[in-house]
Amino acid sequence: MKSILLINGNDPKALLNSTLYGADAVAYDLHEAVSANDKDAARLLLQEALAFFDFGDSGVFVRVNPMSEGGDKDIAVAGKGKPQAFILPCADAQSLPQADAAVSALEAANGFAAGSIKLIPTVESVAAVENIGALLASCPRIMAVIFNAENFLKDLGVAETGDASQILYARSKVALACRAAGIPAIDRPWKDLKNRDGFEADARNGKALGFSGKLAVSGGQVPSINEIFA
Amino acid sequence: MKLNKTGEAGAAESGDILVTVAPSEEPGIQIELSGKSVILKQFGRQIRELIQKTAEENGLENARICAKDNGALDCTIKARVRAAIQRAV
Amino acid sequence: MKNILGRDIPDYIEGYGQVRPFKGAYASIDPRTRTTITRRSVRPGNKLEPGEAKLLASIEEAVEKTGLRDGMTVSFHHHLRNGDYVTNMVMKVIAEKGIKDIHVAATGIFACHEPLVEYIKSGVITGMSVNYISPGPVAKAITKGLLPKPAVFRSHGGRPRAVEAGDLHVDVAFIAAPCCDNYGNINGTHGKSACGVLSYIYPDAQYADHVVAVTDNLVPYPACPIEITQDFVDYVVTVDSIGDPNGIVSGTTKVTSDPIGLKIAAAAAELIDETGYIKEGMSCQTGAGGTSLAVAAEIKKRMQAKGVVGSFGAGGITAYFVEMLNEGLFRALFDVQDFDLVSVASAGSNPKHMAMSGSLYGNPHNCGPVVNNLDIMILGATEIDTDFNVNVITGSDGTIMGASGGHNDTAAGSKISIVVTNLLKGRLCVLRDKVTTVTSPGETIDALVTDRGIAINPRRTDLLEKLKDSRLPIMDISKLKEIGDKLAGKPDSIEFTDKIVGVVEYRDGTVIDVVRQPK
Repeated sequence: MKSILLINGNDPKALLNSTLYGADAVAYDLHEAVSANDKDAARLLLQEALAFFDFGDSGVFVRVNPMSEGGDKDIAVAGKGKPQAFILPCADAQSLPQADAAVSALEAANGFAAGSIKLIPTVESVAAVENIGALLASCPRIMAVIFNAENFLKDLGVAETGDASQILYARSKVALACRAAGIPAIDRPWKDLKNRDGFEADARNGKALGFSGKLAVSGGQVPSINEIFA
Repeated sequence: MKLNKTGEAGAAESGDILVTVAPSEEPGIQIELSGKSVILKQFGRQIRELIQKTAEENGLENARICAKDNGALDCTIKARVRAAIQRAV
Repeated sequence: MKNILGRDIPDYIEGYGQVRPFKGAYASIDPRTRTTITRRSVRPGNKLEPGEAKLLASIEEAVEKTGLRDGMTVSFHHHLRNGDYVTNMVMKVIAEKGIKDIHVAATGIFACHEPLVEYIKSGVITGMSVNYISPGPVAKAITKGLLPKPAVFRSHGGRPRAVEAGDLHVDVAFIAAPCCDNYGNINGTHGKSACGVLSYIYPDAQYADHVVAVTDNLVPYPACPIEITQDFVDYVVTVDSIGDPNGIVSGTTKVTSDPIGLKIAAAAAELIDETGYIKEGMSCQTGAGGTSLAVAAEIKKRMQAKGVVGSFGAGGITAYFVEMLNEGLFRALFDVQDFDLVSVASAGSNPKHMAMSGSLYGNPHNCGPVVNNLDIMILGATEIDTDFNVNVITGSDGTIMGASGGHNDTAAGSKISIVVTNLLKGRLCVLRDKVTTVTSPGETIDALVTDRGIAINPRRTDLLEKLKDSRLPIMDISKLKEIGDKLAGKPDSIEFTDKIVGVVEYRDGTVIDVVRQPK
């Protein structure tokens, strides 16, 4: 899995076009892209849209809200559209079992095979990076891991300097742990769309450290990611 | 199902539909549909039917539904009607 | 009567006349007789009688001098695009003089021509013919059937054919002249209203009974470089301004940044490459839209990678094609209109950047238009059907929103014509069982490249053979339509009245379709 394209889960036009960019998987976002008062409508939109569209070979994920902020509702409602996996933000020893239980409940309620829907934790806290090995071992649903550098640095209490060496240890640790667990590690998103050179350098850097792919925040990033991680 | 207030969902963006569901004294579901004439001429009938069907499936009996379409696909129309009903309860 | 495309067309159309039915894209190539015209003689300058001078004081005087009266045809060109003042100024004078029943033969109509709607309503204008029309008030008025006679839609090559053949007889041609001298030499590339070449009006200059240049930039004799020469021009009128510079230059001449547009462009270029059209001496034309230009950008990359030098780029010229010329990717440009200031400047200064008349561009009844030499043509479409027939005239609700332009000329002439478009536009699928109006017949369209798949015209077995191992998402056109229909749903059919509001001529003058008024 090289490219996961993040798509605003409450934008019907973006949903319609999401599979056209050639990403290995699309991730419909209920978290950062959707405002608090539209979460309910977005969950229903994803439920309907996931059942309606033909996704072909593309992976279909839903990025839910943190379990403390309505992630369980996201799983219960949007999950009826049967995504292949949920991306769980702020994953840690507390939220991961909660998400696992919510997915089990979803499977049972809708007649989906137990264990068929996977989880992709986003590692973005100091504790999660430090204990990543234990985290990966704790839940058999985990099919991949995403590293979020921005929030990791916030949790560490340091300002982002733009120098990738700041996150070298954390990145390497995540990549190694995933390799040891036999699952793909997906590198951080690059949000500055205008800085193509910086984006491509960052993708190459992630590839060199052992990441399998990168989160794309725009369809335009997908071809480069696919090429660099090929 | 009894509606207590007006519920709105969706947006006036391209590919979306803005649906407002309000309680009504009159019996039945009244649908007011607006949008681009090029779409209404070819899909207006189907959009009305879908709104009607979705409302009925969600147990709506008396309601006024106002829908401003901007080229939404069926899945979007259904989702927005459902969300508006939820918000009107 | 049904023509060979199955379109239902009367034998005789009131306000248009007897119908010559469309019989195939290449059916009408027998020798043609051109019309003869009568032109006044202008005596040597020092013997000019008072009042015989070419330079007139006003448009009103020009209308009087040319004997413009009820029932005549006046012509205009659209190189000033949405900034054109001349059409409105002339029609205002004609209306004020109480002249009625005028046929306006405009190469193009834009939103800025809204005042014409009033003249249509008041009976000043009773007929129109256009090669291009943008969505706007005049298009709406025609759709509503406000014109007593159906509008005639011709292509950029079909119009000069009609003018030369006498099918479209122009009584007075008004030429918007950005640069002009007092004896009627004109160019379009200099002056405050410079718009580039004036190609579409050359046939009118040659075949109209009277030709009037309207300028806001009278220069000492001779205007240089001369594009339209004095021997074709009866009168010169000066006005304060012939156009609004902001409306003259189009805003759509950048390569798209939309990733889906880029994806379509990359697929189109790959198709062109795999079918062997990227080669030494190749020629190419695209539209000025963002996706079309993105195809040009992709073609350029492949030309550079192969070290190929092309023969020519053609059509409406943009900065992008000028750049390709200057970088040595093409040996020359054939230009019919200029979309931006870079192109205007290049047209006025670079001898390799050549103006071509509308007739040279696409007229099928001359000794060979430039479209015959064209290898690659990138086209757009409002609708396309499973027989590859293309509509660029009406929306799928029957509303007039465009016209052929060079679509059917270039599709017929080029070696490979490719329609590039998104499969879905909003909720509307571009692929239909039958297009609302046929502009270009399917036999001239070779491929359809969309964001959700590619279809090759089954008539082009040679292309299918070359592409048999391709990794491009090539599928049957009906399969592609299924993909679109599944997302958008099957549209209900539109109802039309019996009233014919437009007659669509193919480039050879046969009637390929009619536009009926939607209910």
